[in-house]
Amino acid sequence: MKKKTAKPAEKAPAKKTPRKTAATPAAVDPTPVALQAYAGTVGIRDSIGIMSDQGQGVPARLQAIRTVQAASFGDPDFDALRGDYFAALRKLSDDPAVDVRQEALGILAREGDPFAEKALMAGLLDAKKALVPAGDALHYLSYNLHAGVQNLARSIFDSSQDQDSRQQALRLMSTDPASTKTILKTLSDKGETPAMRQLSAAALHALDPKAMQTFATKAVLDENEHSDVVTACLTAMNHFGDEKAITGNTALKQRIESLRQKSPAKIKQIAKKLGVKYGF
Amino acid sequence: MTTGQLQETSEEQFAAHVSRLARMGSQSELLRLFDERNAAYLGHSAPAIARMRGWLLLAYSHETPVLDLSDCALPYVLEELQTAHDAYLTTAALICLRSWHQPDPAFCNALSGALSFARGHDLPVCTGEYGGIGLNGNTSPMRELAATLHWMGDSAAPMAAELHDLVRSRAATVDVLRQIESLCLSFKQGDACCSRLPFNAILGRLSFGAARPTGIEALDAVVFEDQMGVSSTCQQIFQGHPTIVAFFYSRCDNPLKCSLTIWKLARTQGVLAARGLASSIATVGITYDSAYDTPDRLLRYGHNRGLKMDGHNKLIRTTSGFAVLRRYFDLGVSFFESLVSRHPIEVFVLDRDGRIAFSYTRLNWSEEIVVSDAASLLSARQSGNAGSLSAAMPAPGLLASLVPKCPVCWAGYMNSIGLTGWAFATPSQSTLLWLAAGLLMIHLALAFWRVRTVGWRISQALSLVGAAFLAANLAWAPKGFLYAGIALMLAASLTDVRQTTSQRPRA
Amino acid sequence: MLVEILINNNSNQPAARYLTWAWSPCRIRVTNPVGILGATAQVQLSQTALPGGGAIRFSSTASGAGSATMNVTVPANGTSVPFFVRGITASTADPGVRITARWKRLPIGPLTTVGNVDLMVRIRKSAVNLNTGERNRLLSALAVLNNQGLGRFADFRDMHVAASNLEAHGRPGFLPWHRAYLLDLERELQAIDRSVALPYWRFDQPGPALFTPDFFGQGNNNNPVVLSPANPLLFWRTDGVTGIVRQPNFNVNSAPPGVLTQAQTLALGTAFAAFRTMEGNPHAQAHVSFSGFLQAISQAARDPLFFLLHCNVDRLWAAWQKANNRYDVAVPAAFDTPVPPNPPNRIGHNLGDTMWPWNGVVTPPRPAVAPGGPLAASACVAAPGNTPRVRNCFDYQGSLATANNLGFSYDDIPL
Repeated sequence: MKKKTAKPAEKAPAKKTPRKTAATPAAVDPTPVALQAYAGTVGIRDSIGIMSDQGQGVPARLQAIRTVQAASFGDPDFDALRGDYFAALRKLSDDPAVDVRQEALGILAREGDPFAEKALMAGLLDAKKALVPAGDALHYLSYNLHAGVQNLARSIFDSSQDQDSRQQALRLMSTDPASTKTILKTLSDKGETPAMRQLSAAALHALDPKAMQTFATKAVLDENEHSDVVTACLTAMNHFGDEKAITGNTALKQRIESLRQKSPAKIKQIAKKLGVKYGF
Repeated sequence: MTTGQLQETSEEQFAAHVSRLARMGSQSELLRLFDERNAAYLGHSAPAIARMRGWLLLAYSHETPVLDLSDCALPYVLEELQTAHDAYLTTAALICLRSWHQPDPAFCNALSGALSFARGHDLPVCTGEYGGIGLNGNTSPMRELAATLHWMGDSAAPMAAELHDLVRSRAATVDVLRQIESLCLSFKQGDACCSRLPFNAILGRLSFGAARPTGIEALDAVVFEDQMGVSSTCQQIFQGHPTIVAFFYSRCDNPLKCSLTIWKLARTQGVLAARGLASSIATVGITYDSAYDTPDRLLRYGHNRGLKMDGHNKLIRTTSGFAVLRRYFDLGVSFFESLVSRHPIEVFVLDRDGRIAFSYTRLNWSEEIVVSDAASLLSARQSGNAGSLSAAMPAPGLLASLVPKCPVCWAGYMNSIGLTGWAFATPSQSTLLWLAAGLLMIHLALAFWRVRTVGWRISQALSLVGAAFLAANLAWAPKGFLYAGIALMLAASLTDVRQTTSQRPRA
Repeated sequence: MLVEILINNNSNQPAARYLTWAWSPCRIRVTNPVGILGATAQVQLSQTALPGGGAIRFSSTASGAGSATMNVTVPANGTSVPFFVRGITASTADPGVRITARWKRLPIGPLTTVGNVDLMVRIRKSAVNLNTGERNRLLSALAVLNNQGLGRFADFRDMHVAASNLEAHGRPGFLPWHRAYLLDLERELQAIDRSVALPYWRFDQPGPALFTPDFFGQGNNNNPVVLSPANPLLFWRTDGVTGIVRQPNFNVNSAPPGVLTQAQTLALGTAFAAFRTMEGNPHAQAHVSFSGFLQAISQAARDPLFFLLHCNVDRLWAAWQKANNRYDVAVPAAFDTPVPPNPPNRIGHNLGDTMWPWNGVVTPPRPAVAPGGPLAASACVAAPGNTPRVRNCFDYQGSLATANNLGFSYDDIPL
């Protein structure tokens, strides 16, 4: 993990409980949901009540939110209650239960709600007002590129020690041509995590495909490069590569040929595909 | 605090300033704040600008009595509705529209846009709070739409089908649906066909004729790159033929602005082809976002919207000199960080020398009218005389001039009426003479009616004296009075246009 | 003697050599009559499994069970003779089956090969049953279609936004519209790699293989899903931002809770008006079983898994159609047409209506733009045409008329 010069780190929000991770998803209320197709007006109203009720268990509240969100997909009774639903979600944005807060902010952000955007921005600018960790705030704000958070993302990327925050910041930086140099630097830095470097590869490829082609060639030729990075570069070449640049580079062709013969399984597989695709 | 001191203003300062202006009833000061180029918006992101403009729109209704919406402010209100994209702005615009002196069926086009938006974005809005995003919203886009439709009354009849669908779909709260349903029941049979001229044929279209002398040499410092990565100068792209130019950027988050603009540019190509003009008139889209909209992106963006791209038709970006381009077109675009934060719809027609001949801004433009305007340049002379000026004002403009509208078009139609002073040179054609006299009377009446909103101007005095000379010639005076009368009317026209375009924001 | 075999009646186009469970019209004709005694020749058609696998049936008509081989009498003068083939076992790669034409020069002589054609039985399968090759080809095709945000995928993303909500949701046209939408995407994928068929995510069953770094990615909270460096979805980009965000709100070793099972969905009703409420559950319920793009209509199409989710929704409709014989739009229960004096459905949701965006209509009440243009064509079938109507999306396997065949089948829904 890359070490960074200590800078004033973002402070954790005041209310924080361990977030669910991919390995431990939030426990779900075991009571079966009524098996009906549409919630209907009563179902939606009841669910808005449940989600807003801090006395209910978190799983029940999350289920209620999802019931109403499901209704937004075509329930004929939803439109009339949209305003009530969003008003309730806004009130949940600072709920004591972090999962409920996250769910509410996520939905609001995806629907482009300006209340949520303003609250999330305020949290990034002042840690005392943060409703969620910086990485999550950046993610929610990424639903609106015009939210005006690119400079902030760059600053967080440079100063934060939290990998989630840096990843989300990098995602936002991938929308900004002015960040190309930083992204290339991150991709080239063998001290960065493979995940960060892979994200950088994707970001660089979107902003400057020629720069990515150049880096990919260098990475594949580098016998000391991390195998995940080499694999990602070969994947990029295989799908989006510049045929002339690849087939015209003798050293690269020779390297790919040698990787076809001897390399970890994933690299070997892609090297073979490249050979077939470009005829060497 | 004056408008000039508004540079680098915080949102709070802006809001306070707007409230103060509204209390004082300072229409012209408020109007200046609508212009996207106003320094007040510098350094603000798109959401911040939306909050600022929403507050500005609401200023018209915050005080008691409510401020009348001026002619010049109307396009800004209609723009927010026609390209509705933000719940607060849409709500504010709907409230603001009710400050207009009377409903008009021509508003239906814009209200239709607001309805489409509101159906999927009926978020709570708190009009009492700056930015509208308090926890306790007192209204919503749909609520205000219902109120505005109620204010429209029978004028909303062209929207009957959409409103019936809304009610049938139960796509709003019960009270809103009831309000709309009762409105629909009140529509008389045949009301749906009684809409007047569509607004997009009237507002937002400016003709410059030869009054805009700046030629393409002003863009010498600009280098362009097209969707194939080919570099060109402005002469190579714009000189030698009329060009239809549309501004856009691929990351525009309002599909009713940039994406629709390029779709329409593609349809414009179809209209050109149908009229046999495809090889005579070029179409060019210019991106505001030169750093991000690389040739690959331009190519895909145009291709995905059915745009034909070849030597004559391109999507381009500037690789240097964007500031010069911005000045040349007087673009209403602003930036925050690396993104566009605000821009109106901006489409232009350039003549063979690259001079701007027509502009269509803010509201949706008609492909047919743009092509007609561009086609008129194929035969128009380039000299700056009255003939070419009148050639630049085709029939729709003259027809439009008979209906009271914003000062931009007031200037246009008044001046075209005034120019009928030439008819007095042919007194033997009595029908024409009576028509010209009638038009002159209308011209004078409207000129003095405008005193209400824009105050006394030298152009009105010139009109009065010129009319007096023409009348004298008719009665007894020699030919010299006739020529003097025509010259004075012409001077009045040019003075009025010049004053109007220099004092108002681009409408 | 030599013969030419045309699959799907298409003159030699390799792109036409794809079968589903539906009967495909084919033709055989003599191209070189040397050796034929008399006016006709008797040709035997048989099949051989190639590395891609699969099996087919022959028939002289577009009905019946068919047979593994078939004899055809072909004129020596080159006039083509029609016959039909259909798949009965899916291929896993292209080509999967070889049709061989054999002929005996002399009545007691050996059979000699006079012509052959390779084809694939291309079927929509459950995503978790795809082999590695099928999976990788699907991912590659998706990645190329996306092309880091620059590809045609942007049109598909732009078709499914808030502004187009009324064209596709909350009304009877929901299922036909999405059937056309998936078909359009699938044909674009096939233009990149003809062996690809859109798989479905069976959301009422566990599918852990789907949510892995080698396939559609492993949830990572609000971060982009974890993908293997060899996975081309690593470069996926929509709305100008890199990455796919999808966090399952359930344990991926189980099915999402609260989602109606297939049996429960089919039991919603035998009339379309009742069945289409499945838009709520299981469809919407499957959507909200994730946090991330899939959770909102306006963002859902940014996630490629969206298309697999909807492929299952479509499969459920196909299963319901099969169970209730609902292919004929003349049968009232096959669709939800209001009975007069009730007014018709909103435009785009009546049987005779064309569907946005393929119809290119951008005047109100349709959306202001129509991304994507006409529906992609297929070398295999002519239906549903480039501006499909709602009615064109029902008889998807040509059960009523072969001309209605849309060119896809589901692995577990027979003809």
